[in-house]
Amino acid sequence: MNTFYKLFLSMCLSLQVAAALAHGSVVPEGDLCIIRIGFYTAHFKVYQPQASRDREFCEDLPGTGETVFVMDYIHKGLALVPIEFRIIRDATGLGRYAALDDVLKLGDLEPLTVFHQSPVIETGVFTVLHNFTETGAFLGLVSARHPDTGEIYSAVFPFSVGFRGWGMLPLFAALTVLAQLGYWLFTGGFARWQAKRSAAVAGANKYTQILMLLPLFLLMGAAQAPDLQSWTSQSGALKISFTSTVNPVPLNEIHSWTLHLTTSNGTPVANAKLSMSGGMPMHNHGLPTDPVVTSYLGNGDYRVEGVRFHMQGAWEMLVTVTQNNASETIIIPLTL
Amino acid sequence: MSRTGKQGLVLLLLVAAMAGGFMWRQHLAATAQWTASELAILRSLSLHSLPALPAAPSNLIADSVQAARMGQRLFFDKRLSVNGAVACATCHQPEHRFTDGLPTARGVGASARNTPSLVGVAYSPWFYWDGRKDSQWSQALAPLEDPAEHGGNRMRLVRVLTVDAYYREQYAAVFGAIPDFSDLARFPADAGPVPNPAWQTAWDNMREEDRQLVNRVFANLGKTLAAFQRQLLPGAARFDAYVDAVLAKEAAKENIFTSDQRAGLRLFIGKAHCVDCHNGPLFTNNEFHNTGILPPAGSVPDQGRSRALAKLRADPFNCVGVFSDAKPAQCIEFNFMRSGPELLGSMRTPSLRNLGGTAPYMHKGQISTLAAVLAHYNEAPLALIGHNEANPLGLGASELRQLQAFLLTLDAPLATEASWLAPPAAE
Ligand SMILES: [Cu+2]
Repeated sequence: MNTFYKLFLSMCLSLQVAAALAHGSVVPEGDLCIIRIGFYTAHFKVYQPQASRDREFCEDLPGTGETVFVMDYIHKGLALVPIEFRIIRDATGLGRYAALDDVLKLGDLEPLTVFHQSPVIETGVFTVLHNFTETGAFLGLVSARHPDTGEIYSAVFPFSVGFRGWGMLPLFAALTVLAQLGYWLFTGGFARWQAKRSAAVAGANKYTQILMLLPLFLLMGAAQAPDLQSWTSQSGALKISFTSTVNPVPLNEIHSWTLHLTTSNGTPVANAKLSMSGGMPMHNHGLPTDPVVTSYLGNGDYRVEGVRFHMQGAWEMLVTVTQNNASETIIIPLTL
Repeated sequence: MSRTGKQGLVLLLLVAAMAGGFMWRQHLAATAQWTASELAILRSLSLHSLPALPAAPSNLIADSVQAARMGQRLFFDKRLSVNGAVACATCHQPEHRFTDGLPTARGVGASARNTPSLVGVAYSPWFYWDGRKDSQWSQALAPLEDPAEHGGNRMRLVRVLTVDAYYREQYAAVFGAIPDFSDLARFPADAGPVPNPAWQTAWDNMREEDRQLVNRVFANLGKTLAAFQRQLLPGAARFDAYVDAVLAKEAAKENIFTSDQRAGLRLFIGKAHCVDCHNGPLFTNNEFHNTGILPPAGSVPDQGRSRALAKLRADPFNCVGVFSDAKPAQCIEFNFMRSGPELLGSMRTPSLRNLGGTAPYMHKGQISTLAAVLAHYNEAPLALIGHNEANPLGLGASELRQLQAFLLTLDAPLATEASWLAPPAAE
């Protein structure tokens, strides 16, 4: 019986893999669609904002109308190369199995083209807009030219406009789930689950205890006064404090800081290489400026220019100190 | 009384008590005392916290009243357009708080973005929705040559200053004598680095020193327009009067806010996180944020700030350029500006002062009502490009209504003297 289920499972899986590979150069990876243009990769997203707002499609579009194709570069090289984008009616008759070779056999693409963006360098993100007026099968063609070799890399992605339902896919999915459930039951999964569950409850208690201590940690953090205080590096070897040219540290006003760097026993550290960045960990964003450590003022003091904060709340400044080819980071927490 | 009658009465009393309790709780929430940290935020949002105008080191005449009066006349002057029908005031209408009420601007042609208000804009380090200009004077030059806005060229524009006696006199008083552009062989009727091939060719054929002569007068024209726009400042609104009353502990005057407006303010500085970006007395941090605004029909998502950086660095009229009056070290914002993927699809936070009178909203006027704006932030959809920095708020319908009630307390006539808000009287 086990053997039978294993066989059935692998059959289902291979069918799904075949379906996944059949998207041409666009491959689903988890929640994301990835397009491969030679060695270049990008997140591939399709939207129909007028019809379905921020709903993201990977390939098959529910209907005609305005469609936005977006490529978020994973390989940053794409920001430097001209990218060409073309949509043609699928004349290969191969649908989702169409490949680059099949497209090359079509010869002149102009008569089939419904949209063409000539090569253009887009530094941030690549976007094009096409208004589909008819349903049907289409092929998207993306090309990027390598800046040094001049070689052109291409990708093909078949897609349909006016998606005609899921076909046999839900059936396969249901069968796969059933098969896995069967396999799991046959191999004594239920008994394992019961054993695991009692172990997990014991483990969860530990987490709860730690979680209950969290407010205490937070209180300890909040009790720290932001000024006239120093912070220590991970190794404990360095201490840093700061003063601001504007006090208290202002909102929406660009200003400078002086960082005072010492060893753990208070001896000023001269001529280290410092850099400073920062952000709001709770908001997951950085500073609104790029501060620069511009000069050493003597006595362990370093001048940082171009500091600005654009929100109130909890910030963290990260000072990286490099000496003798070794770097250490000191975190300065700051509440505005 | 019958048994069922008694039961009914008890039930009724119970319901009444619950309803009463709920309303009392609502009332308490609306009238609850502000905490010390909330009071600090209220004070920071009040117009009393607005500092003096920031220095404009790239524009030496920024605070000259004479230059501002000249800029005022230019602001309303339709001769500064290719068809004689468009002035700055065509889109920046004083009676609409210097906006036009349209989704996207209409000058000589159709512009790509929404007309922002000019009130209090002098406080921003960046101009335009995407911040592609770093000074008010440099910003003022671009619409004049934009084919969709004034549609002009700088040669024709600076000539207006030489042929009009008032401008010629004022220019001489502010900057020194204006150059002589009467030699049409050296200074053709139309020339400028613009998308019009004939004008571009004429510009390319001019001598370098003549082009710089024209550029200098063109930059000075922008500097007078900037001096005028620095005068446009917001006036105290109902919100400011409420904060005054709260800070002065004048309980009677606190009634100028309804309980809905008070509750909305509490949401604004708390649960709704509006104050994260709309902070300070102008209700803006003048920074760049992606908040997942959908593109309007017919356009791809706007890349915003991330596309502006290269333009800003290449702009001959930026803070570090030869037409700027600043030393390079004074261009602090320019020197330390950030780049990076966080800026993808981001736009500058607009001020919320005069929000009620400046619909439609967003960089392309995508959202026509305040209620729809609040619904957008409540939902916080995924951004089509980059990442939406905002998170879904989970506010109920009554909370959204309260927020809106509060936001409408930010409208007020300008603090600017009326003589600045209309075309100057003829000389
Ligand atoms: Cu933040």
